[in-house]
Amino acid sequence: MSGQPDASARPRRFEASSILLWFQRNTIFALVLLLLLFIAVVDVMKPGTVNPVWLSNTLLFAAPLGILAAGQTMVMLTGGIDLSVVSVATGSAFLMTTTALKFGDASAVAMGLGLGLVVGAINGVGIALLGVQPLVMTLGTGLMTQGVIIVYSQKILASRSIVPDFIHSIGSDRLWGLVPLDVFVWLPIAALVVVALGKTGFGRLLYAIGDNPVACRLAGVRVWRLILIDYIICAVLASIAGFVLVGHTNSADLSLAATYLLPSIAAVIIGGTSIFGGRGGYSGSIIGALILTVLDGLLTLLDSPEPIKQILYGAIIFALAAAYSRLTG
Amino acid sequence: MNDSAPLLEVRDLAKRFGSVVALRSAKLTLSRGEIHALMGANGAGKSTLVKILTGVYPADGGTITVDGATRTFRSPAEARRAGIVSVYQDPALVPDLTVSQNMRLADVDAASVRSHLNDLGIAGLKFSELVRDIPYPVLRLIDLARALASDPIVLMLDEITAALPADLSEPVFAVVGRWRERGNSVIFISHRIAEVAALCDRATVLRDGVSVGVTDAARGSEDRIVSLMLGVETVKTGPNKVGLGRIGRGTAEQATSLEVRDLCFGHMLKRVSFSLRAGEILGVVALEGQGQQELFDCIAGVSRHDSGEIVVHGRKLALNHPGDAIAAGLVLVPANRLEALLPQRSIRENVALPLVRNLWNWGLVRAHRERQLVSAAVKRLQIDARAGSELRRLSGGNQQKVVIARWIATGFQTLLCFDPTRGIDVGTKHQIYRLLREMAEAGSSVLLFTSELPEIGLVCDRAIVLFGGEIVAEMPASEADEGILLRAAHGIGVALGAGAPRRGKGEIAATAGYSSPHVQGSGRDSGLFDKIGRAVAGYPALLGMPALLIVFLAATVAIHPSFDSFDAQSVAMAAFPLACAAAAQAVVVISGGIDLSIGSVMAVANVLAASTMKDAGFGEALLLAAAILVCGAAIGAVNGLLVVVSRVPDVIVTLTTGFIWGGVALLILEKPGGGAPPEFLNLGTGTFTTDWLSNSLVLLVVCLTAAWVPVRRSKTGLRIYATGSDRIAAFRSGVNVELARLIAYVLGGLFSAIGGLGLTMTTGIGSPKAGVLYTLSGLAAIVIGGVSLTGGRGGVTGPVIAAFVLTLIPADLIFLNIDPNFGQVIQGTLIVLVVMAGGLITSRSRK
Repeated sequence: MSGQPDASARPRRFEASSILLWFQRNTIFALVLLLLLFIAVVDVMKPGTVNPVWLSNTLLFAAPLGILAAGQTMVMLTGGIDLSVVSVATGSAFLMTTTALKFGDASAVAMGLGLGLVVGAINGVGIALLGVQPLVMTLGTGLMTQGVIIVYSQKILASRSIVPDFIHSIGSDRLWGLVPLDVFVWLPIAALVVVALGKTGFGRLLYAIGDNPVACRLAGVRVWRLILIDYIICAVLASIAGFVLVGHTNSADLSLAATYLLPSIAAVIIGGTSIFGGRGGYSGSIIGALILTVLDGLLTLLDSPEPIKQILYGAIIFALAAAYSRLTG
Repeated sequence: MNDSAPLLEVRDLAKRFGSVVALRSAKLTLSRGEIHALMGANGAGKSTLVKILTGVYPADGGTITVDGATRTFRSPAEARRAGIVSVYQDPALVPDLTVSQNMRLADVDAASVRSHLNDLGIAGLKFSELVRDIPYPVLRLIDLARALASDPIVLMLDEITAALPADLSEPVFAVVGRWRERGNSVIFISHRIAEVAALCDRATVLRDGVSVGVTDAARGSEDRIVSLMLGVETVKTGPNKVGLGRIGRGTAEQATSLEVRDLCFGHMLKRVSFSLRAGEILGVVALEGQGQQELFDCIAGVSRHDSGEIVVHGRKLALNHPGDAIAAGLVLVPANRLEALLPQRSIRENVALPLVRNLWNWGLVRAHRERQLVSAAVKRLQIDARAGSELRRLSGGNQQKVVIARWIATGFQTLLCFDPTRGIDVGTKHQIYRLLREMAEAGSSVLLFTSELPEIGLVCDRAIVLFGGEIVAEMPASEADEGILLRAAHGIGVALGAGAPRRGKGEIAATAGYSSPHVQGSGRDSGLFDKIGRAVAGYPALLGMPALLIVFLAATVAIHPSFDSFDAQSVAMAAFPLACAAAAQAVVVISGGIDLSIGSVMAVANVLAASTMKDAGFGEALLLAAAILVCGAAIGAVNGLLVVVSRVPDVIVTLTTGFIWGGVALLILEKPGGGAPPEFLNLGTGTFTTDWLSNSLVLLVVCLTAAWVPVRRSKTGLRIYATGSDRIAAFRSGVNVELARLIAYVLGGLFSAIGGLGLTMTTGIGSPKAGVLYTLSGLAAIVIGGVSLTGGRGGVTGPVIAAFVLTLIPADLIFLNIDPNFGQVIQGTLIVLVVMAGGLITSRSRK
């Protein structure tokens, strides 16, 4: 994986089941296999389901989750977590749609991103400078953001909200009727994040901070700068995910991204990033997001009632996380 | 002495951690009444052997025989019952408990511990003191006294003297000697061959996980032990045989590379001045806690000095961060190498870490240049890079070399080396000595603190001695004979300013001489602000929370003068479920976990009650309520089991089980509905004796008191706190940590179920989604209520009171005719402010 450039240097001389060992070193392939397995199950359950249109749909639905997971991966690598992403995504989308008519599309988008920037900066200041635990800090800012948006929604008339055309087409149109446009938002973000984590000093330091922040300080690293920037990036990515989502639903409502909290964390965990930081990478989270999207589709396909779907979803995510921690030890 | 059957016999013991073999085939025979040394280079497997013997790890192969019977110990508690007790390198004391609570935890008698402590030279230690406030060397002695108090037949001491200054080591030797005379046996691990020769009867030497020999440990056998350890016959110790080849050139004319003038730091450094020339190695000698740590930290920019100057190349430095020092060419090799390393990252990333420290290095890594720099440094230090993909797999000596290699790759002018050879085998030590000399020859300077006096003569050009934060002696290394250094380090024959010698005869070592840097930083006569800050931070439930509640109540009455009994009742009813959620979360968090499924569990209890009690009588309803409480506890047990068994982080486990329990609640009752008999509802909605006292408040207090106080008072409560504070130390103290965590989750489930029943009572119906909100609000309440999310600290009262505060907020807003949705904003803001204030207080009192 991107985070372990030296993995191949390890001597291979142990008699443990070599296939298992190979997967331990190349977890990404185990994940891809798992993804293919899920896709196969879908096709077995209802033959003929898996076709280009289905794949296109899966990508369309996976993109916002993938973008949320990008930010979540970056903060979880430092040993943090961001519970405010769903509030920020919802809030940014809501702010953008309700200001588009009055200020124009560009300023509306800027204001949406601005919300992410502000919340991210608050998170960053609390966590990086005051040493607040990320879970608590982002819980607080998440509640705060959500509350502000609710109050704001009652001050303005919802009828004045409008989703700009280009946002709408990003969220729902397809190139040649097949490639969803939101992939063109996701792809550059994914490429940037993978390169940033694997090849840059910034990425190197995110892993290092997750592993031992004291060592980073002793090595002369201003840890707080990284953490601050990290949480800002995470929140801005959440804003972008909110835009993609609202482009898809084409109407802003206050529970737009609410269901994405568990998946945004689960995708990262399934993708092999340690919640304690220092290990993992975004390529795994991408597969994790795809797996969760396919799983969601599978449960819909089963046509089971909502409670059963919810129970299965939770159980499968848990099983995957447990299997993963067994595999990597 | 050794003719009787062996007391303890270890045969062919093997242990592997992942791909690293720690023990291949260890043998050890321990006779009665023997002090047996266990020796070997770093990574030879000594500590692993001790940990297997005491049941910390299971062995992969081999047998352990005690008194002729084959035994396997599955936990330290089991080994303790068989009379085998160890004092590990890291004290097995739980930091957030007091000394006496720690004794109770391990089932030892405090009076007996105290008498052993007296023998060890630590008199007058306050047993009511929290362990985290006690300096490290004293903790090791407390650990030893506790081990002695449990009256073991086999006592294992893993480098007990490594952290002890000479004057505290002596009583240890005396006590251990007396222990042998009583017919007991001791396994003694040490790197200090002189100690072993003086104290031990025999020595077993381990090399690469294999026992390579047993030898008499009498004086004169030192060379034989060393050659066994190294696996070479010819290596000897002694200054003339190291081959350092120091050149006795005059360093006087060399340029000054570092000048320290009148450096002061708290009580720890008093106008320290010295200068260091290019190409010079300056040794620093001091007993534990004489300011050497602070001196190094100030020069390296880790701590900010109070006054004085640090001058490099004629420029006065403003050191606010280690980065500033590194930029000026001052680099630190810290006392604890683990502080400086990234355990999960590769050797390459560890060595290259400072290369990406600055903003302008955050772009693409220049891989080619980096690889060159790193491999040059790795080669120069002869680092064994076979296990190089994860640093934690390297042996201690190789890890230490990585820390030094980092600075060779980065480049520096002055190396601040704090005891670089502590706990390192002889071969690596000499490599490090040679390297330091080479660096000096090349024109760098080194400031070297060492706890091993012969190193001064071996590697240094000049030595200074610190005592009580002042430099009390300075001499060329050629004159620095160990006796002179030791006398100076004890402040003997040195005139000092008034109040300087902080450790007179008969004074308690525990409180005066050996305070850890952590304690010293805050000082004993700190300002009022710090005291208040610490009091509030330490006991928020005692001081802060009731005060906050009173403020909010007063505000409520002020806003809404017609606040009547009905309002009081509705506040109590609204707070009931949240208070239960807060209590549930508090217990789990105190045990070191977290439960994000509490809201869903409450929902399950809520809909279970509403759907089953609909047509039931009162008595029946009470029975059902009891059954639901059992269900809640069972759900908590499932959560706990999954957390303990699956090794998946608790956040993830309970996030997913929260999903599952939420689904279960929906299965039981799809839409809000159901009901309960009026008498049952009256338990929540009615009043008790006066209209002002809601039944729900009484019920809450009764339930929580009945369920929590007995646990809190019992040893189970102590175990829960211990597990949350330090899981490893708790385990080594004999606590079944899995069970303690499980019990905490069971209690969490039980409290959640009470909250769920409360929802039914106060709303009259069941609603599958009503509980969900309480997960986050409950978490908010414990944070405001002063429970530390890292575990082990806080209580249940604080969060419960915080729940009332959080309930009053929306009520006040309604009274004020403000949109109650602001309540959420305020709740969020309150969390943020409380935690930020907490952060400020701790960062302030840390300074």
